[in-house]
Amino acid sequence: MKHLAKRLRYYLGLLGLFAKYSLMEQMAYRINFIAGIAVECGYMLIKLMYAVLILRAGAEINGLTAHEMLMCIGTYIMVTGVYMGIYPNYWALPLSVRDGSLDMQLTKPVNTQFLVTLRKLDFGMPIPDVACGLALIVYGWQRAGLPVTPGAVAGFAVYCLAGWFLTYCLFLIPELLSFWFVSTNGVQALSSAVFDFNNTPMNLYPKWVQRLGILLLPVFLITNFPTLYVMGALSPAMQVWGLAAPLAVFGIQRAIWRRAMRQYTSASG
Amino acid sequence: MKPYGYVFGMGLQKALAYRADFLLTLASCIFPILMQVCLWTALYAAGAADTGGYTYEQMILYTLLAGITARIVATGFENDVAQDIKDGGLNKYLVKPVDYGGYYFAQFLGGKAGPIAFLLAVTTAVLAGAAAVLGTAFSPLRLGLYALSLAGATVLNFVLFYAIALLGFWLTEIRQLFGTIAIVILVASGGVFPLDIFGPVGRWMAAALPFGYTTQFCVNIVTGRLAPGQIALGFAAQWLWAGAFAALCAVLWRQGAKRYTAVGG
Repeated sequence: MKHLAKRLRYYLGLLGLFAKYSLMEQMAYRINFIAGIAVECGYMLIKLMYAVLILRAGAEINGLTAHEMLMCIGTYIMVTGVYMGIYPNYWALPLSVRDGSLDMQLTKPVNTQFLVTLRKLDFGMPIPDVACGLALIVYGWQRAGLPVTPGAVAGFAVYCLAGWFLTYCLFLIPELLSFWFVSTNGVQALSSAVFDFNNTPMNLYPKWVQRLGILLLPVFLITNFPTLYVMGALSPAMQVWGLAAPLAVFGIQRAIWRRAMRQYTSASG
Repeated sequence: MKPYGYVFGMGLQKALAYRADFLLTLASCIFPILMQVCLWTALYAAGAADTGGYTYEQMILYTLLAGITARIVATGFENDVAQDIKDGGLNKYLVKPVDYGGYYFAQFLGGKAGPIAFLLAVTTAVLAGAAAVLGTAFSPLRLGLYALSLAGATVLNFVLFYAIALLGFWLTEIRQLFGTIAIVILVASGGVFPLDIFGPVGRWMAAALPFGYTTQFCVNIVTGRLAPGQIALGFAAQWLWAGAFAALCAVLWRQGAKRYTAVGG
């Protein structure tokens, strides 16, 4: 236990250093920093269009009011923002496999996945998403008349964290295919499109799509479960699944990672 | 014209080099379409859709065709142009007996030829499915006009994005902004939702700005929302905008080439 705590402190310290150096790097190129925010604002525009449509309709659909659905969309926008904070690492991974620059990372005395996926943190892109997502959540929560108790807020935060961790694991898997294939643009586009299913709450989809998105490819857990928990609409089994699924996907992702590492021969090898 | 024919062929070969990648990218556009179909179905079923006069059948058809049309006219070369300008890659084109814009247009068309053929087959299947499931009738004249409008939309989108890419002569870090510009244009073209549903402002945007003529105009020819007079006006506006942007590209190129400094040897 003591060893584990020491390791955790070590990695948290490293994460702090990564954050510091990433921020210094971004402040050196401020136009790029602002451009990153602008890019993310563009993507947010599309997500907000869905929110506007649902809010304008103002109807209760399949058990969720417009404001509860707004909370789901807000959660999606916020989780997307946090994901964008580490996205530069995901984007760079296929390139580092192709040109062999991954070699250097393998020689470092830290966990390679930790280094490869968290080395560069973007502070610009998450700003609009997190701000806008939080605003939608607070507004939707208040207008939906849901209880604001410590338990509800803590539960919401826990399922958001679980959703973010699930996003981290689930969307790393398509990037790992770059160890086997030269071009992975298609798979990346496909995985982004699957993630974008969260643009609208899952209750708008047919039951079979909902089941697929909860049990088989659990993308709906990411942004629907926090709101459903606050509403008291999550069954005990689903509450457990909401926390177990990220761990299960993490296990699968780690297995693929290990296979990918064995497959790696370096660009010059 | 011969060099451009070769460039067209090269673009075609390049596009066909990663077929699986192309098919997966194409498959990825099914998901947003499916998502929107579910959204509209739920909103119409709840009787809560404020749709600017679109019937359910028209909205579903719009969603299906807008996704495909936006994909048909999509560009993607703007990063290459900006990179050429920034890194000095433009040098090799300046000494060749070809027009830079014409070179990229030929390459763009070559790269598009395979995907467009495939997407037109998908469009045909969608229309046949819509005729069978939604009971919508399509006149051959409207289908022909849709195909014609696609040609205009492809040219308009090319000159639009080429003009934006040429701003790289003045803005060295424009590449990052292409993502934002492309998304804003996608929204403003009606590629996500029809602009009409956003009231008078949306209708004004669709009619007065060039973007709507790359997607919404083409799709609404098929959905039957446009009267013959509106279609004729739409074609005129589409080609006028294409001409205006082509002229703007020529000006930008002339001015930009004057201030271009070749990097490297």
